[in-house]
Amino acid sequence: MRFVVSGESMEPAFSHGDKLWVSRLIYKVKKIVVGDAVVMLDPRDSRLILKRVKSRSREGYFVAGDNEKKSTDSRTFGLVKPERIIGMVIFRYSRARSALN
Amino acid sequence: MIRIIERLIGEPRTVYAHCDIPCGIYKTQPSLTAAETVEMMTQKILALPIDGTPQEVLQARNSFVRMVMVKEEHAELCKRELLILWTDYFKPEHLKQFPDLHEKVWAATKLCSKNKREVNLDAAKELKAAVSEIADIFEKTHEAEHSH
Repeated sequence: MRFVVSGESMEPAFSHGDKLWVSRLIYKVKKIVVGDAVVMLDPRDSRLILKRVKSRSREGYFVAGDNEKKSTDSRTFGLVKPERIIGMVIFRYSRARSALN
Repeated sequence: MIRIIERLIGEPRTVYAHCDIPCGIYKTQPSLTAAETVEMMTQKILALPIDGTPQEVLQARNSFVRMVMVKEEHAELCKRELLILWTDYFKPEHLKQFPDLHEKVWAATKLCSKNKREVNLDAAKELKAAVSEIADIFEKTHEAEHSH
């Protein structure tokens, strides 16, 4: 699945406008682990959001933006159930144009 | 090349990496002003004349009602502004730095209610002090986050 990033909460890894290739199938063969950048459903309104898995507990995953000052994440909406996590970012196939200029 | 391909197969979906609210719009001034207004109204209510000509008494009653309304409104506003900072601005790392933060917000918001129920200058002063303490904590955490 292809996604384009909107926002700065995952800076410096991913910038606004970056295009990412995200795999849903990878979680059929691999577990969600700390450090994965994931596309997931916001627990509050089911919007698609991009976050990184920071820790794991029995109750769910704690996710946060790499840029904590510009992120709304598990600090606000709590732990995330694995079924809310849609896929993992595999690679960035296009950089935001502003980063190139 | 990618752009040409995407023109054919369609643009990717948007995934959001946002903060709910842009940084920097949390302010302590509304709660400070509201607490100060509560104190000012309490002082004014306590200074109202209790006797006089019928016209003076009527005027004092009118002022009394208006002052109580303003006190009520600003005590509520103060509570709301404090709760916004508490629920939306403060984060666990701030709590680590100021472990009595929950206690302080709880006490301050309770003082807002007390100032609605009573005409009590001590309670009004306590509210002002409690709000400015929370404002100090806010400034310290805010500075720390914006100094680098």
